[in-house]
Amino acid sequence: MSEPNCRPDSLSHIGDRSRLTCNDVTADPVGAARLRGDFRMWLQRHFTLSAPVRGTVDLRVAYDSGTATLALTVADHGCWRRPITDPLRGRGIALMHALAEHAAIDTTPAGTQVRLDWSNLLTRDAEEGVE
Amino acid sequence: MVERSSGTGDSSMSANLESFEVGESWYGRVVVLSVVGDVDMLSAPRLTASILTAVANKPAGVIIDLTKVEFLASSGMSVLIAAHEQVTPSVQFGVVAAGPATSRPMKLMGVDATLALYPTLDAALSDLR
Repeated sequence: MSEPNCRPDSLSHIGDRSRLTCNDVTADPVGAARLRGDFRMWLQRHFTLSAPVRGTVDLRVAYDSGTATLALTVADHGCWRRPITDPLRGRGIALMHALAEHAAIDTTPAGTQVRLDWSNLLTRDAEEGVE
Repeated sequence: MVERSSGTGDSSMSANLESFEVGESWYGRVVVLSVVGDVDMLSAPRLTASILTAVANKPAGVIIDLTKVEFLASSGMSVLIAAHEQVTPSVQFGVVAAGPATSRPMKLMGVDATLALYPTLDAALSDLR
């Protein structure tokens, strides 16, 4: 019941602070919600904080303790919708730029990769004085 | 109903639509919709439906209380803005939001220039009643 939806690869598991990998997650709202929940679970454990045809989404997170930097990469294989002129839409990209220290969005005809970085993260180990 | 339980590491279930709900309470002629759970693409339509149901009872004001919301997607912000456009100015509209999951992203997006944001329900009720 508490098994995360992100299946571990041969090198990482939910207890691995240095990375979290989730591949082939269905690219729909349910898949996004599951990714969010698993990423939230991994974050809470290790850090203190401040389509007609559906594709898949890949998520990779890596933490480098040397620079205390968290790098999040989300890649899909979809295509962009038409440019946004609706005032009720269009905040997703702005939110990414506003909430991450650094955000890069790379678009190709085959899909989009979003890279979000945060630095100076305090790990739970460091906060509790454990190394 | 699925309960959020951060202690057991079961938080992936907290994103489940079953844990989303909207309660309705009336304070005189002001209706307060208390939202629990994540407001994302899945649950945003249910919030819209709850707002429409409440508005059909002709309140003088509508308050959307996001105090118990721990995730607000851009689609959720769109629902709030659309509701504000629909009911005002004949019906007052306010949103209770505090903290990093709701108040912060809305202020970063400048949504507070359109919506009346309040840190507490009491503050919202004081202003709308």
